[in-house]
Amino acid sequence: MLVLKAENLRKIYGKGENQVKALDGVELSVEKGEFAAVVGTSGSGKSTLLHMLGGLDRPTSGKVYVDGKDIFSLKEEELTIFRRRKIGFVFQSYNLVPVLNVYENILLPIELDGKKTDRKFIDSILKTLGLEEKVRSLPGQLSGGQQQRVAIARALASKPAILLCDEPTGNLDSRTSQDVLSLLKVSSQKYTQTIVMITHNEEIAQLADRTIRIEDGRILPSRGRGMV
Amino acid sequence: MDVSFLPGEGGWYKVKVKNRKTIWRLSIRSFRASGKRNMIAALAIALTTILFTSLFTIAMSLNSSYQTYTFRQIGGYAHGTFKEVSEDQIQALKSHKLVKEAGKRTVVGSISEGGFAKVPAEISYMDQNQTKWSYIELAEGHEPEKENEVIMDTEALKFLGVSPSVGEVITLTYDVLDQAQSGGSRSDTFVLSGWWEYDPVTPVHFINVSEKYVENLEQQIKGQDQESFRTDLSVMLPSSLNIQGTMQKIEEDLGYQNENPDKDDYLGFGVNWGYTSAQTDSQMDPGIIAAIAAFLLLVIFTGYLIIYNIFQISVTEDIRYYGLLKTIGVTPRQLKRIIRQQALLLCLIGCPVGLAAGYLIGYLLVPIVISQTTLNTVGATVSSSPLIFVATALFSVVTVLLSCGRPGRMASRVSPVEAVKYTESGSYSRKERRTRGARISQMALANLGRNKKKTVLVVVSLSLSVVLLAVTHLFTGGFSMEKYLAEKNCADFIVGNTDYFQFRADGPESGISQEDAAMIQEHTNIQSGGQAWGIPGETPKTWLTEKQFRDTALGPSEDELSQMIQGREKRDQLIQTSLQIEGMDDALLDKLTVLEGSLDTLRNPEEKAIAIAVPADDYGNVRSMTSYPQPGEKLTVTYVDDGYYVDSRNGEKITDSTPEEYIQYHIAKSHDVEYTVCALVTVPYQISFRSSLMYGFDAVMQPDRLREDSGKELYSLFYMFDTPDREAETEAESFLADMTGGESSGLMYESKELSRKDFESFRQMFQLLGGALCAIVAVVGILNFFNAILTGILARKREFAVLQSIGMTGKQLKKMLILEGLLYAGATIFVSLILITAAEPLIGRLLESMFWFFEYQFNVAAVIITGPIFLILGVLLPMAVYRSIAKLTIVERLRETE
Repeated sequence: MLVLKAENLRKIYGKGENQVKALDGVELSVEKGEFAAVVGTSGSGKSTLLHMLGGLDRPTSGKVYVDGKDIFSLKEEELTIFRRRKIGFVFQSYNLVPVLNVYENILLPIELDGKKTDRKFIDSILKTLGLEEKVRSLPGQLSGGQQQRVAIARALASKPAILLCDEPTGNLDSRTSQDVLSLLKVSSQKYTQTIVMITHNEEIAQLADRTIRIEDGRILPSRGRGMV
Repeated sequence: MDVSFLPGEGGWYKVKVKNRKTIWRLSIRSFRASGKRNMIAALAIALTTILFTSLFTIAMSLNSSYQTYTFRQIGGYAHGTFKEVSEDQIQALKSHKLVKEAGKRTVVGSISEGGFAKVPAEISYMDQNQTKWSYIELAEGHEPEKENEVIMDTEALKFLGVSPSVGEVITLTYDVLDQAQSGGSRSDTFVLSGWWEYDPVTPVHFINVSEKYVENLEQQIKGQDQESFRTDLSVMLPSSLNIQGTMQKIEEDLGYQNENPDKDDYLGFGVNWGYTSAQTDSQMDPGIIAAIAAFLLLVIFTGYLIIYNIFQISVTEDIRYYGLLKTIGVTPRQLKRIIRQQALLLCLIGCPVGLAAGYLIGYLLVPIVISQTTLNTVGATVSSSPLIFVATALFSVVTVLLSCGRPGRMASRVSPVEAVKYTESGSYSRKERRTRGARISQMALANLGRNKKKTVLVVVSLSLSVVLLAVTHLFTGGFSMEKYLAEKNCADFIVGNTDYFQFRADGPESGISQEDAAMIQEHTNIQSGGQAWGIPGETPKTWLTEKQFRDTALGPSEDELSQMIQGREKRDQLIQTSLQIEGMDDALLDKLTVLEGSLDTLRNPEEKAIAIAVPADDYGNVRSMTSYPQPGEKLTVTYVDDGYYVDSRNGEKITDSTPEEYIQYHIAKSHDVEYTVCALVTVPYQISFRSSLMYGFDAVMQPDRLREDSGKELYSLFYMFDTPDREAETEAESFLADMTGGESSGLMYESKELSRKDFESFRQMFQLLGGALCAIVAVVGILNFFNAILTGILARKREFAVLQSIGMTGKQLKKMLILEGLLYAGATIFVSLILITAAEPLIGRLLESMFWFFEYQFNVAAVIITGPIFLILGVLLPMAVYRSIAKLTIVERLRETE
């Protein structure tokens, strides 16, 4: 069953001579429960694709379906609500709210939705990510790796159907990277979550069910599962 | 509760979501996080509210103080008065819905003898409202109730030789005044039931008797075949705007008219011209309305920019932050609420501070400032309305919402990702860019040019504060004593009989004797002086065309005019009109303003020359000059040697029963002299007859010529003279005070010194309050500068860290910031100078036309005062801020803002 589908996705920045085609007709389908890795060089359009899939940025043309819903047909207000319920984001730049502490940051999307929090679940995430000691800290007091983990915890906290991760382990040491990845995997299996993850680490890409290669805004033909 | 949408069967449905607490937490935390910025923003809000409240309170106080001063001169502050009303009319008027309050006054007589020769007394009954509106505040006692009770002021008591204490017995001898202005003399004994302090500004001494006394007296005189007393009804209307129109409407509603006094439904009324708004109404000058509107706009725009500016400086930071919140799932609606809550928090801090300060300045400081001086006698009043405070608070809230809503709107317009990455998009119109290297001075300049819109906004906001200061200073500083004196006094001294000053001069007995004039000349140091001369007996006549007669008449209705023309004696279609001729010595001729022609021939007694006096108002505006005989034209003057009054219906001598409208003057014996009109002039009020006839005009002639032609011995109206210097002026003043002092002297005088005293206290108040106003505007302007520079630096902390991380030294950074500060200060000085140079002459001329005692002088004091402070702040502020940011390492600063 398809959970995520992109149709002829284009994103063009600038005009005339300065035109940059960040995405140039991307077609993509992701099955429910699938763990897909997106790899490509810097400037290949990976992050742009991820933003489009999550409805954070509007494409110049093309469509994105989440659970069969054309997300860009939604109004801004509806899209935001839809996104915070269905999709968890892990940003490369963390995007933590500097004025809220770790715990508050993690709970924010849930609270914005007015839902009750599953404290046990949150605690287990915090434990796995080694953040128990840091719950009262502000993002500014944390290291890059710690902030990254808070961002991941926040994405997982609302048990989204889809997790979109932009270099989630980029700032982590290899041990924590392993822990984070296994957490992502376990969680995805437990809640049948779909994961789309950007990485430039081929080892991590190996762990994925599928590797999507992107270059100059286009997806390269698939070379099959597990192949390098 | 927030309304949210959930996907479900059958589409989306609304649910209520409890997220209010989360949003509030986000708001308050974000609010707290931007501590310094909020302080500055709250200060900006406070500045705007202080500016508004104190400016309007002081301006309104000045206006009302000016009005009060005028009201005291007039003798009351009722909006208007319906004249000669009957009891039925009083009831009808009182019950009209536009009449909020009414006050009744019945005048029974007057005293103008003895001590009252200079300021007469009016004996009347006033009801409570009328008493209050006439500024009668009893120091002791109560208003007259019993028939024999009376109240009056301390000065009147002094003239009557009675000490101010309740219970004193007073005998008043006065002229009874019925509606026909006659009734003979009468003496009655009263008991003093109350008294109040004399106000030297009031035009008459009010002596108030009881209603009962008036009623009984009226019964008595009606028995003697006299008319009843004149009762006027003063009214307060819903507002002081358009008093004329409102009173007209009241009359029309009740079925009266004020056009034709001969008809039964005539009801005259007068508007209290002390109400500035009434004056501007009647003038309906669009220029004045535009000036007031422009000033209001300037104030509002300045206030708006003070707030808006501060928020715009750090707009980028906010857009990024709001973008970040969006990526996490804050909906646009929630974002709006976060922004709104922060704005209200800011207002919660800024508004009360500003309103409290405005209140302190307006309601507490102003009266204290006034009470420190002798001004309370002038009637300085604090005037403001809670409405101003409410409106100011609302204005601040709206401005803040608008200002800080902009980043929110921009963030919601673009996608979350774009918002997070938002950078200031400077408009680079330059295609080619010369490489000028990275010299510090070039960088500072480039920094200002980077976002031109922002820089312009800051400079405009700062400059407007300075312009506002300049305008305020211009206004309050321009009240010219000399102009006032020049207008009020055309000469240093005018000495004359009390009759002249009270418009009763009609013969030698109301003139100044040549002995007195000689005595003055002997005892004072006179630079130039001269006398004005009048013809005793019947006023000479001249002959006007019907058009001239109509055009020069002062305000009669059409019916009255026609009737008057009908009844007048005529000669070849020309209508006989009285002509007041004032003989003037050369010194007086020098004081005239020649509108057309020349006075050369007039000075020569050999020439048969005459000058026509054209009436002018307080502002020196002259009515159409074409209505008068033009220079070069001939004018025949008929000097009356003998004549009597006849009934115009049958030409016989009048009897007691002849109706007034048929009384006509018949010239039995006369002689004509033909003159050439040499000039049209305006005669300063002080040396004119001080009263004009309803028809025709006045004329000026050389006294010797006038004496010879009229064949009569002229009498001297007054002696006017100028002194060479201030010392001589003071000496003359004290000599005249002695000479005219005391009840026995029939003389009195007017002098520059008296007017100076008169105006000084008023001007002092204006300057004090105006000075306070200027100080406030200046402080607001300087704090605005402080704010703008400070925010500008704080918003760029990260940028500075980046610059330092790539090798800019602290010293260089400081230098760059100081240069930027100086550039801002310089630009502000430059722009405000241009704006002031452009605007001041316009405003000045406008004010001159609005206030006749205003004198415009170009000055740039506002820039001279604020400019150096801006320059100093431009250097000191960056240094201070640099020191505070340098406490953190570059890395800390780089991280802090992520």
